[in-house]
Amino acid sequence: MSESRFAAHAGRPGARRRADAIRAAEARVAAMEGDYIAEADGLIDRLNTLAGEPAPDIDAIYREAATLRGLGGVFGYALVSDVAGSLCELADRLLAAAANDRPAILAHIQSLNLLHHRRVKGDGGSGEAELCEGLARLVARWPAATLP
Amino acid sequence: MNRVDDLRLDGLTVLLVDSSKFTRKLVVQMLVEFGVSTILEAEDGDAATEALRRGHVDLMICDTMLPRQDGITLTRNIRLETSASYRTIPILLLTGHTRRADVMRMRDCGASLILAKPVAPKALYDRLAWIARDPRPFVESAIFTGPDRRHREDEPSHGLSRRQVDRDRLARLTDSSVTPAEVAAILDQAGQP
Repeated sequence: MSESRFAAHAGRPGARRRADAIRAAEARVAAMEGDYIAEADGLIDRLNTLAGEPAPDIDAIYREAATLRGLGGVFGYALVSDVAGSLCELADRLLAAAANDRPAILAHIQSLNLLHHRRVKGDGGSGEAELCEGLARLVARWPAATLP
Repeated sequence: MNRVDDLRLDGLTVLLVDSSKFTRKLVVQMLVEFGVSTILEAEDGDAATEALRRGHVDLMICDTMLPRQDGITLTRNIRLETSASYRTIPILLLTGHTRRADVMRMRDCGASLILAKPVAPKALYDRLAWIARDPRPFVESAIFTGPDRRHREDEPSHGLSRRQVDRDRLARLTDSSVTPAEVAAILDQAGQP
């Protein structure tokens, strides 16, 4: 590709040092943790509401879970991202199978409630590991969607 | 080409496309600290296209999951808009989760790079640095338009695979906040003891 304007400008001398820019950005992100907690509260509330519908909208559950997956790990809540990702995978498989599995969906959302409200950071302990393995078994009950 | 590790981003315009207001706010904070002087925000593909048509954009960062026209389709449409000045701009696709049905579409849409969320500052910075030194030619063929997929020297991992429970991770485990009884209660009601 002929060099883009982005490439041409980014390579100019006088740049801020990479390490300084990353450190400053990490500090800005850390300062937003309270906002993340409020955002995750809302996402998990919406997941609870969606799962409580007589015919849960799996696609909407997928979207809310994907948003949550994209946030938790940024603030150190890696397990929230992992469980939200597991819920995405479950929803993807259910959509491909045109099926519903309310118990498995609820198990994921209850897990998110627990991990979020206890503010579990990092990888947690053996209880969290056992929980994640159990959720993975629930997802595995449904075949992975095939590649197109 | 010189390696670009320290980026000078002042004077550049970045278009950030994500339907989540909070996610946009988060990424904007990172870009500000990286030195980007102008950041445009769009919550869907229509707003993004309008922003591209209205003024000069040097880089687009776009979530795949957008309402109506998703980020993959938006990227492909930009690459196919033959008369548009923005057709060849670098595009970094962000994805929270990749549906099986989208794997091939994502590969073929013409994005410069794909990065899995959650997006930490270091990962974002290093992907931007990689894009800044991207040597690939822009190719146009009947089946693909975008940075050449066959030339991917030094391409960073997109991080799409799930985190694995490995020895290192097990070694990092701390005291549990979740009790065995709570785990059992959650899994039992789903028929998975």
